[in-house]
Amino acid sequence: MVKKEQLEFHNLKFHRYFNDIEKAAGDIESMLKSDYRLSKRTIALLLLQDDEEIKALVKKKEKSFDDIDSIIKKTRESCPEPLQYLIMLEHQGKVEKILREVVKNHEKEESSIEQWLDNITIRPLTGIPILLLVLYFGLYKFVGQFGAGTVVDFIEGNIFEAYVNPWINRLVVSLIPYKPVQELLALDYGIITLGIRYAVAIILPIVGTFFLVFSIIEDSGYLPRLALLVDRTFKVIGLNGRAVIPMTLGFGCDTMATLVSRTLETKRERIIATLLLALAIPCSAQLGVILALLSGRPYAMAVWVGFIFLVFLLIGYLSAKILPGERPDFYMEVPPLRIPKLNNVLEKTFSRMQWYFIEIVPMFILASVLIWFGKITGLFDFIMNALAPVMSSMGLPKKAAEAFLFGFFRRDYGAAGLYDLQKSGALNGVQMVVASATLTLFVPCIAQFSIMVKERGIKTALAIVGFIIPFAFISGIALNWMLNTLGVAL
Amino acid sequence: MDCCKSRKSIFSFLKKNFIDKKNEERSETKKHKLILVGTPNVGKSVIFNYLTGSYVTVSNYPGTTVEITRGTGKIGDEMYEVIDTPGMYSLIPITEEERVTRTLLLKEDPDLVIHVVDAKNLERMLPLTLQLKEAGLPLMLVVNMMDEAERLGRFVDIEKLGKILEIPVAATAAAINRGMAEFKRKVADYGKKRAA
Amino acid sequence: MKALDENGISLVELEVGEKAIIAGIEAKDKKKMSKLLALGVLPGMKVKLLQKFPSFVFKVGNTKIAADESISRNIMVRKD
Ligand SMILES: Nc1nc2c(ncn2[C@@H]2O[C@H](COP(=O)(O)OP(=O)(O)OP(=O)(O)O)[C@@H](O)[C@H]2O)c(=O)[nH]1
Ligand SMILES: [Mg+2]
Repeated sequence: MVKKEQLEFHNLKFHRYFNDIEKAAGDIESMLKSDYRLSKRTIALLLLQDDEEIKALVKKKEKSFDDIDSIIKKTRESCPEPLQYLIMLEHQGKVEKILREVVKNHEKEESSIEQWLDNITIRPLTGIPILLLVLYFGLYKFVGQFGAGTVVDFIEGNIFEAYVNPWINRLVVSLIPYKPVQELLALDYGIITLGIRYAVAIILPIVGTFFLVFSIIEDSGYLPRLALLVDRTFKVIGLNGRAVIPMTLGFGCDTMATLVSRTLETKRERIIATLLLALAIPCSAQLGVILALLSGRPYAMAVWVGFIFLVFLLIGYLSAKILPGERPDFYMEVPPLRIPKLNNVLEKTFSRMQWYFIEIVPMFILASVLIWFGKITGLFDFIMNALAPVMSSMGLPKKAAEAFLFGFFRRDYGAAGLYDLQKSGALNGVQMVVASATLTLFVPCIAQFSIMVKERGIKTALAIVGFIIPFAFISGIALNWMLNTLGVAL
Repeated sequence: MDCCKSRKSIFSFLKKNFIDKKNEERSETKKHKLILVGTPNVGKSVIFNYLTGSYVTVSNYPGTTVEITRGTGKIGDEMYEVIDTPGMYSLIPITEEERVTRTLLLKEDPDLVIHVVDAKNLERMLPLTLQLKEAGLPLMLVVNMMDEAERLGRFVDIEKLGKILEIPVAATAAAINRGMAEFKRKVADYGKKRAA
Repeated sequence: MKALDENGISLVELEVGEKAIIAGIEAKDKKKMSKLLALGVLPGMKVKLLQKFPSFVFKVGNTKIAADESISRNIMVRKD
């Protein structure tokens, strides 16, 4: 708590300025003639504290703005400290007086186990190993192996392939005599057998397990601690530690994360974060599929992680160099570590899954319809053929173009396409890494793009996408070339 | 976060009783408006969920809520439109999401503004209460996180605080559902007094 | 006690684990100042420095705050 005599001294030192400010506020108040919803006194005080938005508002509404402005300037010049500081001190004095009457403190320290946990998460020497453990168990073991492996295999194999698909196919074929309509609903690319299957059997288990782990991490209060740990690294890419929150959320869903990048302070940071989310942060569905694809090949996994991380740092670094603006500040309140409440964790996981599901199902259906349309008109084959040279320059089979085409609709859809491709045994280790890496970088999905437009404006959004598409393919070609030149077998 | 509207999750739907539903439609026309404001990470969204029975994201870090969320709930005999806002440190915004809240206060005409504060950090948070009161808003104070404050050996004389500030004050530990019924009653009382 | 109007030293000059009283906020950069005010870093409050690397972490009242050097530097403190 505040030492009484010190505070009073401080207030004493500035006391006469408090009177000046009061007087200026009173004068301005009497000059404000319009209605502002908030009291005139508040508007006057905000004006004195240089609030640009309020200034613009008052300028528009009051004829006497110039007189008001000169009062502000005069008051500012007569005070030794910024008015905002002095006004805050005045409030603080009042609050102190109130609290002396209503608060009783028998100061107790937080428990030693709390202090210990807090310490080990924020010291680099222990904090980094803890981060790696969280990533290994939370992401790799639980999301990658359990969610994307065990659960997906079960729903895919034991439910869809064993029962749903054959049953639907038989039903559709027996009920509907027209081949094109059969194909729209079922068979290889049908709404149910492809669209719904991707959504329910592949995406949902992965997204669900990710959000479960992420909710626990969020509720524990770990993220602000991670933020302070990585601040220095993030400064290199033009961001500050606070950006760790949208970035990690991006591993769940980049669309949500783009919205959350609002919490970043400068426009420059928001643009860099949006770009990196669109380019180098795979969403949970993508991540899960890729972890599952590569989980049998640790070296391939290492190459993929290393490559994406490198792109993340490099593009971040370059955009920080190119975009004008000052170095961001890092300051953040670190809340106490709390034990996650089961109820909240479950409710949050379910509500996010629900949100995600409602978001993706129409897109998946639409994608199925478009692919169906493309197939019967021959457009699909045409595009596949057109993409064939690009695929072959990355060392990929022509059929891989399918995954990229899917990826246009949704990141996760593309990843799911990759999953199917790998299951058919069409790819070797190098090809899998190249395809995974390119698909990770490749276009943000439509939902993410629309949020990018909404939050950053159409020009920025288009510029970002215009950069990403060629960049993704060039990276794929470069990676393929590198791996082949070095003669790596993964 | 989690886009736009508070959505009743399957989970809360299962828990929730259906009685509120009918009232919702009946009194659509004369709904009271209640805005929750306060510093980030003090429990505004927990309280929003409690009042509306819906679910908006609650997490343990500042900056969870970045958009305005509207919901409805019955308090006393009246229907309220309840608005959850992104946290703000003072009336002068620094980040984008703080600006969202300030803009809302400049635009809306609420029947009640509830300032939610953390009992552990009253020194830091009451200045905003004074600012909000000064702004002429119909104000109520919720001193939340009483459980954690008590664990640190802090006790707050809620009644006296209300007398000094001349506004209704409630003490809660929203996350463990402590003091919430009493808080709701105080909101209802305030509504009645205002109507009279 | 030292002369009260002396502004003291910057928080970043404290040792880890040291306690002090906040004497004021350096206001050369008004933006940085308003961030500190927002977090409730105000004169007269007790502060304890918990960590310096990779970021500064300190406790003011019951609040833990993490900040980089350029922000923390603006907090002036006085040792008792
Ligand atoms: N111990 C305790 N924890 C609480 C209490 N109320 C809320 N919390 C926790 O505090 C954290 C923040 O709660 P939120 O409701 O997300 O806070 P908010 O004010 O909406 O935060 P922003 O959206 O960031 O502005 C969560 O982890 C809650 O579980 C309480 O009374 N006691
Ligand atoms: Mg919230």
